[in-house]
Amino acid sequence: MTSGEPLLEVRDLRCHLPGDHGVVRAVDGVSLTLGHGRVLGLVGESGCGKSTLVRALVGASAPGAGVSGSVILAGTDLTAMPPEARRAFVGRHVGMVFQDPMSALNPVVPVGRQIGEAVRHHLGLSRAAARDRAAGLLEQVGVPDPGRRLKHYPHQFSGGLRQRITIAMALSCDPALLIADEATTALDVTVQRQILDLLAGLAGDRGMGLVLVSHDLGVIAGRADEIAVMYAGRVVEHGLTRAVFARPRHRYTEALLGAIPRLDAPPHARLRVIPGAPPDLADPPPGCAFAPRCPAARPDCLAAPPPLVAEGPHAHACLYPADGAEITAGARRREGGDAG
Amino acid sequence: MAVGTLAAAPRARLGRAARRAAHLLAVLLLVTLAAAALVDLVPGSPAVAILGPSATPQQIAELDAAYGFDRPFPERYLDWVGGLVTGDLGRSVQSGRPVLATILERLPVTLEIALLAVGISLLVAVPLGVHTGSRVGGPLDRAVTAASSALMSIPVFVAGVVLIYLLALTTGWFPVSGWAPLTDGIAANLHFAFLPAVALAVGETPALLRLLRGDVAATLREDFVRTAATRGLPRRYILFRHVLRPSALPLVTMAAVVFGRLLAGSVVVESLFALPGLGGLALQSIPAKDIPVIQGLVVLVAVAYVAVNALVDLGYTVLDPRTRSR
Repeated sequence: MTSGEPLLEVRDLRCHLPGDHGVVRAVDGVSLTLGHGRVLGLVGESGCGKSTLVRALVGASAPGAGVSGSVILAGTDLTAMPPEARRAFVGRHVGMVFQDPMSALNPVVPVGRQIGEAVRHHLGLSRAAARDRAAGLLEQVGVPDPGRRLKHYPHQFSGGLRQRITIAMALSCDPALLIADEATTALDVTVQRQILDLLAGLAGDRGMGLVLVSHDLGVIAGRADEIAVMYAGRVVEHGLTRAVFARPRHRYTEALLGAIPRLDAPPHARLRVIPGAPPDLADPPPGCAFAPRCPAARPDCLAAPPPLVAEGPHAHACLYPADGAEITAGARRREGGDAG
Repeated sequence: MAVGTLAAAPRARLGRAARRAAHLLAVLLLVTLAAAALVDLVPGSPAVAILGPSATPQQIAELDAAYGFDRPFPERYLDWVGGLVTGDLGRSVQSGRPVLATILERLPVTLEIALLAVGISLLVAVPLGVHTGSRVGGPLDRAVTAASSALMSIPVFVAGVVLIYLLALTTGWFPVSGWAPLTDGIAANLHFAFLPAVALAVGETPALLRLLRGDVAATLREDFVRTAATRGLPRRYILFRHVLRPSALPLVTMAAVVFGRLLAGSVVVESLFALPGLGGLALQSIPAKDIPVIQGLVVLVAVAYVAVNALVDLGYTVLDPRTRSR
């Protein structure tokens, strides 16, 4: 893969799912760019469209989903490929790790075979070579005694080891991009940390792009180079991790950061929560989706969804962003008026 | 076995073997009691039933003495079970030959037809079940569903007659009836065995197929199937490697039940094709009130059922590693 272009480029990706009360706009115009070897944290609360976005990225959307926009992986436009070819291409170049390792593993197939099967199909390795590779991968992800463990079944491993096995599966074809969708959510806190360190370490060692999807900013903070915050099917803020933490611009990001419990808070202080609930994606509000919960919302926030506007490497979709709000808001109002 | 490393596994396996043995004993006790009671259940005296209304009292007394029909139940039962243990099932009233030899002579025919019928059913049901289960509502699925409803409602003698007409009378590919034992060579043997086995399979295949279809459709909704798909594995590979095995457990149970049922012998098919099997033996023995033979057949069927169930247990541990440690 060449290095001139970004590893992953997503343009105006939409995924609309059929629902009981009309079409659910689960992903509604997401654009993202990820460089080679970069770690992106994709954050948002449950139901904001993170997982739907991930599925749409790899062409595994639910049947009946209306998907539009383009996904370009290292110069190859996936959305222009026929479905079977796309599945094979994504399977070869993108590794996926999911939330629940037990249900992601076939209970009646030995783990060695599950790790080696993709290698045999995509790289044409012999049975013996695939087994050796599977043993090597198990060793890399920290499963002790890999040679013997290859023959074991998923139920014979602990939760943390199972997730290590699914990571070995995801790495088996040496992917350029690894997507971990809530990969540590189902695990104990101590195991969570080990798995995150493992993922970040593997991405660094292999020069592999990594997308960490989580509802938990704390999970992502220390490992991601950049952060994209999703709300109601859109990316509302995207920037370098340090910049987003130091100076969140979107009011939703600000509220999310404020909701993280702090060790230096006085004892028995109430945890801050975001009042209200995310909007119904089958019937989203006409303006900014966060406006009904936003402390800084003004009447024009309710008119139309604000576009994602870049200020250098830091982009946000807020008319009255936090920190220096007045100046930017004025500039934005004029921009909006010209465009509209 | 990999699970042998877990401390609890051998004890669990032993416990299961003990349960299985207790189960076998309970079944055998009930079945032998019922079989022995047959003598008392025949209206009037069995000897009268066998000899007919014109029998003299002396003839009846002789027969009663020869077969012990006049002895009290507990004595008769213990005597019969004692014989059972040593392989002596008594003698046929009709032919005077040992019951065990009579049954063993006919068992291979029924066994072979039953095995062939189950084999043919699975050969058709597995690929079609996997395919229709993976494309529920597709054109092939609808065609197969319609065809299997039709086949399920065809009585086995109609299937047999149609098969004989089409594949034996009209084309001459297969013999109309009769039997060649395996000692005549496998080709001659299969030539005779094929049509009766197909006639039985016609009735059994649809249920097996639809069972597998439903389980395949359910397994396809599992997460591990979707993850296999995101890894870009070919569809056919996913179906046969990841979907079939977890979906096959109910199929194995059902196929075993079918096999157990066919082992008792199909009276209809054996009559239609003039096969010297157990079904034919039962057909001769029941009207003739040949109680020792009937008792032998009952015990054989019971043992076969228990044995088949033990095999299913074994099949489960092969198909699903999770059952090994339990």
